[in-house]
Amino acid sequence: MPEVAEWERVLLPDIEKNETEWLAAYLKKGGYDVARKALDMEPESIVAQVKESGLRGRGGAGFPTGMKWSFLPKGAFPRYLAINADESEPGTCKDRPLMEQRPHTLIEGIICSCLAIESETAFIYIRGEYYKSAKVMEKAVAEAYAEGFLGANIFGREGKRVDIVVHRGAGAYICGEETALLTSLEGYRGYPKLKPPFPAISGLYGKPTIINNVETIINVPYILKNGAEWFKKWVHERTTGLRLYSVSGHVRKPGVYELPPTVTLKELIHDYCGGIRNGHDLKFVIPGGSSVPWLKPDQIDIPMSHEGVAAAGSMLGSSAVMVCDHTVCPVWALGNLSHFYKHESCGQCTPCREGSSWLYKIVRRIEAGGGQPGDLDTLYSLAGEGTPGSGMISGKSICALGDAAAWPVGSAIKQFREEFEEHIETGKCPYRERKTSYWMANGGFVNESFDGMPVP
Amino acid sequence: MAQVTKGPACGIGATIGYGAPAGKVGRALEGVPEDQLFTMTLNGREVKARKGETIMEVCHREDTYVPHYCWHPSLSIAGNCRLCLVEVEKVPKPIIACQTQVSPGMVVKSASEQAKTAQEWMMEFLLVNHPLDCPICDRGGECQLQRYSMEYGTSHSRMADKKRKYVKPQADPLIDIERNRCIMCTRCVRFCDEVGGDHVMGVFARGNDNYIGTFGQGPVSNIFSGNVIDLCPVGCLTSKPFRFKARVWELTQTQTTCTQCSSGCKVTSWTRNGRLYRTTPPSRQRHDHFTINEDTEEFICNQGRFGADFSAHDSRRGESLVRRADRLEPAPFGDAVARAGKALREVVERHGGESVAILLSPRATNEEGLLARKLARDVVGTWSVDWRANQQSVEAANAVSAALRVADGDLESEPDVVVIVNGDIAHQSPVLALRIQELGRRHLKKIVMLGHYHDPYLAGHAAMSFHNAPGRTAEILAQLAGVLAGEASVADLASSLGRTEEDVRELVDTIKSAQSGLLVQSLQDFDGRYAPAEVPAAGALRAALGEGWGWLPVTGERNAVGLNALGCEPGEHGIGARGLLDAIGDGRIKAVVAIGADAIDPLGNEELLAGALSNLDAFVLADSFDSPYSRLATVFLGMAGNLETDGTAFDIEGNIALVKAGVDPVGDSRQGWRILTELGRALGRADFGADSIEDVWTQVRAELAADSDATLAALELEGGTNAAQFVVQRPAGGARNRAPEHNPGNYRTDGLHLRSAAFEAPKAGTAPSSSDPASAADGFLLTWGPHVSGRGYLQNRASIAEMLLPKPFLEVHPADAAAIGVKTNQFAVLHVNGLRTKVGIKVGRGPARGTVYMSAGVYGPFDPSSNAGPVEVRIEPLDELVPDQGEALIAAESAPESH
Amino acid sequence: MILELVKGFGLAGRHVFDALFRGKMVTVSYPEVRREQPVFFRGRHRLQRYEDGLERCVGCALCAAVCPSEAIYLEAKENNPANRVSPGERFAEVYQIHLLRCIFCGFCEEACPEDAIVMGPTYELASDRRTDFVAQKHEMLDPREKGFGDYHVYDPYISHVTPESDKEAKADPWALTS
Repeated sequence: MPEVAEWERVLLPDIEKNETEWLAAYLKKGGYDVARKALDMEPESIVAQVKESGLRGRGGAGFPTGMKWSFLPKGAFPRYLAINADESEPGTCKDRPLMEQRPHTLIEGIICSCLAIESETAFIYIRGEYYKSAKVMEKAVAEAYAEGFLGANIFGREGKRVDIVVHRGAGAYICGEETALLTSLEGYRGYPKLKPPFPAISGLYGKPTIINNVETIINVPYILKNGAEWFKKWVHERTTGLRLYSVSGHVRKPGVYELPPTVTLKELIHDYCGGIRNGHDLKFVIPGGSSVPWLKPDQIDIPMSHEGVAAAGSMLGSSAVMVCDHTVCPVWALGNLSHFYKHESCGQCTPCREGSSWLYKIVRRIEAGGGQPGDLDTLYSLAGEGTPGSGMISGKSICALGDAAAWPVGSAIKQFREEFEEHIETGKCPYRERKTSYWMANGGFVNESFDGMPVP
Repeated sequence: MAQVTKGPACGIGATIGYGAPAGKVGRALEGVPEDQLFTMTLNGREVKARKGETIMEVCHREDTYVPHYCWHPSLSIAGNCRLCLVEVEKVPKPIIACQTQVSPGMVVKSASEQAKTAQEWMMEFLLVNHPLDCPICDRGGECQLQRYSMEYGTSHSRMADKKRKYVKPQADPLIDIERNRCIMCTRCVRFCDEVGGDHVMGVFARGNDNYIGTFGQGPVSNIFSGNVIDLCPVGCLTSKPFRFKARVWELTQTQTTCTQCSSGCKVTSWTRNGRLYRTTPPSRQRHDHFTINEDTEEFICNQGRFGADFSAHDSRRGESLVRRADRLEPAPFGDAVARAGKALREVVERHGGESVAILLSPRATNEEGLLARKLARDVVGTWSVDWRANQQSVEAANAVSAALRVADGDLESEPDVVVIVNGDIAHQSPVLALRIQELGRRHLKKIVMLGHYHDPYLAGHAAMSFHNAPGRTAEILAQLAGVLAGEASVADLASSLGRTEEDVRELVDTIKSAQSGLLVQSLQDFDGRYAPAEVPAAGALRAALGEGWGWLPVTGERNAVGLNALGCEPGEHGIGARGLLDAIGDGRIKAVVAIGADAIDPLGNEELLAGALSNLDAFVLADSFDSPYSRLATVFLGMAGNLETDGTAFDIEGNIALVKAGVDPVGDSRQGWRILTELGRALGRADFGADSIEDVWTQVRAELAADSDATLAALELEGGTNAAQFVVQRPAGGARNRAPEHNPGNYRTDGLHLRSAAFEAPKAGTAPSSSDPASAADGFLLTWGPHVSGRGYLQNRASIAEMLLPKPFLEVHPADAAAIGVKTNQFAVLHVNGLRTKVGIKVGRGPARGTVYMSAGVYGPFDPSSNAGPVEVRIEPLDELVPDQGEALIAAESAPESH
Repeated sequence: MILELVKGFGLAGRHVFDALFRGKMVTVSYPEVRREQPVFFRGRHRLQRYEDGLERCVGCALCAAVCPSEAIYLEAKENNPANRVSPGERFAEVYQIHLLRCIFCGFCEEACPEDAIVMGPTYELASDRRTDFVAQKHEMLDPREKGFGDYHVYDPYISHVTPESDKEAKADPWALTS
């Protein structure tokens, strides 16, 4: 095993132990000191410090957090803070350990953020399947309330109020989209809202609302404690701070890695994760959650920052790295991803509703041997090149789910055109004969037979 | 003096007869302050736009068509069909026109290459799962998807895979849902949420498997539900009664007016071979042919849509009958009318003209009304002509007449505040209620509710509501008038209303601060005991409200305003409909001429009426149906039915509209004005009446608007639009109070009872009510509402009358319900004056505490009119629940067949 | 002039000769002999069925819409799934073609999306009863049973007119009213 550089771990120092840090332990470590400090700070100075640190949203879009906060209209109250813990992007698993191991850090981050944006109520929207996370958060919030860290007059400070509502979703991927999350919080179907107006102007219940990812918010107390310069210690271009990389797939040691953005994808896969599993070669990598364009083995020597991955033609997204070895049929993998987007499309707007299922039907048909000569052209015209705005779906839908459904299709065809053509020409999937295990089979993870797959 | 003016003809809003003259769409820019206006470029043209408008609205005003499915001017913006994608300069991708607000200097290209390509793509997506079964689909020929796929789509489909399929549900008796054809525009869902008000439709499942449906698989329960059929741009929601009966292009369209209630909606009747196939909101010329406008804001109620075919009932009788030796025998019309004339002449000779009464159906046209009045006053020589059989007492009828005479309000002026007194408007005059609701919902005007019953349909949009016990409304109104005039104190009014002073002060301030307002008063009550006091009180309140305000008394009768204006009322000297049975009993009336049996049907139950009518020397009935009354007639004259009659009629707001025959009268029957003309001539006045409807209209016009020269043709909806509609406007200040000199001199008018607008108001603080409010312990006070779809002489004859009839219920105030222990959907026995019936309970805040509200259909056995005197009401809860219609259908739960 | 006459008679004589002796007869002894009609002959209309017996016609009325002489009248109805008439949702309950108005242009055949209406080879359309000229749906669906099909043989000795049918014809106005 090659030597790897050991990095300081801030967010999840003891991830291997998988223990929840309850209030007593947290206070022993000096917990909530930052929140107390933040009480004395001007909201503007908190926002300025976050802006200075270069903290960018960790949910996928990578929007600078401080800038987002400064979009709030002056004098419009109440304001709400919504924490997006609806972590449903396939491959992403970083918010869950954060919530389950560091709930009080998250609460402290919420308090600091609420003070920064002058909000009195925060909602944590937790993915429906994250039962333990929700229970841990509920208990932690109750602890904080009992200590007077939450509720009216926090930390005994007259007139300062922060309430946290822990809300569990019902298991819809679309509710991780910020406006759909708000609609769901309001009690309606989780439909994304039309933009503009953006949530910072008119969000939850028509009031200015800031929506941030768990990992984003949990970084705030560290920035306030150690200063923006400390956060910028780990920097690649405009990506700062330590990140959590969720690595899954055919590596020896999949898991969540806390690393600086300067680490390359190659290092991440081959050094930190121990390389590809026995006897196999790397086939492709999805570097930032299931919706981003795929990278081939010759493209992985790139720093894992927003800019670095973008230079290679993909996106960092939620920094969830999915690794596939050469046993994986790209057509089948694409069909699996398309099935996910077809299944998770909310059905509100036409291009995504009809396009995602059409994509799925075509890809599955090709994989099952029913491909026709014009299919790749149809896929291309539907999904485009895998770049924003190209194709029939991307950029036409209400939210970004349409783009997310289209991008992998375009890039997969671009990267593995010969294999798609082989499927169509031979009328069968060459991988079936190899009887090897398959990555991410529907319902299971490995060694799933193809016959169990629903083929339309 | 009434005047004929030409309606404004600008933009789409002006072509809409009612609903939203100032709707979002096509709102003219006149009168908008300059600082709100800016210029932008639309398809290379400089256009003006208002701040806050969307691209779609600008396009509509500028006659630039942008394809759209989900956007509808009356509904909220959904932005989900994505078909209105247009190109905007400096925006990298196409954006939707329906939701994007315009900004100064914006350059919009709605038909550029980028926009067209995007629209074409969206069309392809919509057709991916849409079945290619246009030949089978009932929407074929008027389908927006068909049309757009020709105009904006590609000629071929690349979809080679299996299409999505759903099981077909059977949820609604009137609306057929075929989900395979749905494109998920959610117009129907938004309509039920926003206009229908019952939130009964929804989107179910997710993603590409989603579908529209109703909660609990129940029916779409609101009274406007039929409009979702027109709103649906594809063949998903179609009309069950009309389904597959005919193709739309085979039908003849007649632009006419609904004859069922006082809303007087413009409608299109679709006929073929003399048969009415369907009734819809007015069709418009679009895309080179006449079709229902999917963007129509002219919603009509289910009764108007589905219940208009009563003339085709099995009991329809086209020929005339004459009684010969106790047998009714068919006779040619000429013989029958001569015989009727002879019979009437005999009565007049023997007992004098005053012994004849002429009764009119409240849906009689102005022409019929005028001729009936002339026949009575001029030919027969009687005062007794009346249309008000639906009013529950002589006093109530007189109060209604007095109110209609001085009414001066309408909704078209978009008043800032609408004060509703005793509203059950949604059931009396549904579209009027819909328009009041629109004022509240879309134009953000304030709705205030007073009185003993609050319309549940409007209650959700009311800014404030103040209940009082039945019988105390007049007192409250008088007190309110006193407060406004500074004569009474807010504290007194607050104590009368049982509310805090703050609430009442807010009410008073709202009314006082309004620039314009409208007092809407429902004139129907349980047995006609409240209107006599409430009408003068409302009149006094109207006077106290002053300039800018109007008074709109509401009855459900179709042409109440016209018949009232034409003086078809007995006045002080004659015998009205309500006094008829007594007058027959004591021999003052010896002959009755009824134009339409619904002119006498509400006077009592059949037995009572049969007893009275058989005492007559002559009973001439002009009607379209075989009925218990036709069998009693001396002479039965076959009269044209609905859609067979030409004429004009007023709606409750005083706008005149053309009632146009779409088909020829059945058999040997004649239109009502022709019958009256012939009857007058048979009575010896060869110069009576007129030879054409145009001539009668000229006479009507001379009475109502002497300086007008509008022809009937001018009243017609020209070219499928009513942009050139002539409106006989209700003049302000009660000038519709027809003065005697407007009558041609040879008619006797001297004794016609006319009261001036100045009512004597009851003194504030006194209780003019005839019955005191009671608490639950003493039994309940009873109110009831007529229902446009209720059991009636004509309504019963509609082909699907049973489906239109609302589920009967008894509405109980929550506090009372708790006291007697009943819940919504629980059965109870209702005791009224010793009679009893089983009825489902609905707990709601419509009635005041201590009052129960009987919906139409419950009071069938009770017949409110025969329950004069105090009413004892008792409710006895039963341990039984109203079966939920949805449960039986749950088994047929729709789910996608394939994924 | 003589020359023209000779030429003319010569031509006629040649044809008589050809017909009588060289077997080039152009007429047939109808009705004993019938000419074979080309497949695209536009004769009396027929309505087709699927092999399972269901009617092809779904009552879409496109034939009626396209008909230039407005000879087709139909009323559709919703199928009862328990007792299907056609495979789809709707079927033609009434289907009439007024043969006196029909100009046999074949547009109905072309407009039909289901290939339900075709124009058959039958050209013997004469009748002495007006109602016969309004072809009803059952006559067009099952022409052989009804005697309007390929094997219909004209029999001059059987009259269609009976006292009953005459009375019926007088009582029944034209079914096609438009």
